[in-house]
Amino acid sequence: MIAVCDTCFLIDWARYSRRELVFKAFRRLLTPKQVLDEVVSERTLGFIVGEMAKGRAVLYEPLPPVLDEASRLIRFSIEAEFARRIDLPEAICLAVARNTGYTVLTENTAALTLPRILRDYSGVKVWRALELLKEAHRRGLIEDFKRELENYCKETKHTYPLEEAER
Amino acid sequence: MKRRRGESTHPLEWLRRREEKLKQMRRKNADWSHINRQPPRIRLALQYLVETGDYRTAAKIAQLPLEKLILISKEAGIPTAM
Repeated sequence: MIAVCDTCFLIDWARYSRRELVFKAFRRLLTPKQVLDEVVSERTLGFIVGEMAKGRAVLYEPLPPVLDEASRLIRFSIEAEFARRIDLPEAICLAVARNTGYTVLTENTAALTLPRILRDYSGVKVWRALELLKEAHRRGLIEDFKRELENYCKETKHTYPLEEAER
Repeated sequence: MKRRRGESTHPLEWLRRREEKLKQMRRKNADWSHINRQPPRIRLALQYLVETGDYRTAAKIAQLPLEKLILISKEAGIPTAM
C-alpha cells in the first residue's frame, strides 16, 4: 500500500518516537512537492529526506491535470456550504488519492470532510494518525491502543475529540 | 452525501459540531499569558488560530512558514487539533 501525506500529518508524525509504524501499514510515502515546500524544521525534513534516501518516501511533482483537479476542490470548498477552505497541498493529496487509490494521511479537517460530501471522492480513504494507530493495533503492533494514543498525543502535542478516539 | 460508520448526523452538522469541540479544546489548552506576551503579528495569528484552527492563514498573518507557526502554537499550549 502507498500513502500520500500532507504537511500537518508529517510535522506531527516526525515528532513521534514510534514513527516507524507508518511503514508497517504503507510500503511507501508519496510527498507532494507543495508539502515538502512547507517543511522547515530539521526534525521533519530529516525524517522525510531520510526516508527518501532509503526509498521508502518519494517526492511527487503534480502534473497539470492533478493541479486542475486540486483547483476544482479548492473552488468547491470556497463556494459550497462548507465551513473550512481546503488548501493546495491537501487538495493535491485528495486528487492523487482519487486517481490512484492511495490513502491520504492528513490531520486536516477539510481533507477529512470533503470525501464525506463529494460523491466522486466517496471512495477516497483519508487517515489521520488516529486511524494509523488503530490499524497498527489491529495488526498486533501496538498492545495497548489507548496508552499508545496518549503517548502519541503527549509527544506530538496533538489532540483528538474523545469520542473519535474511542470509536 | 455519505455518512460514515458511527456517524448518525449529516456530514455538515458533524463538521460543525467537530469544529466547535476542537475550538473549545484549543481555547482551554492555550496559554493565554504566553500568547499575550507575543509580538502583535504572532499574537493575532495565534488568537485567530485558536478560534478557527486554520494554520495556513494563521501562518500568513504571522508572516511565517507553516511549520514554524505550528511549532510556535505548540509552545503556546495550543494542541494541533484540526
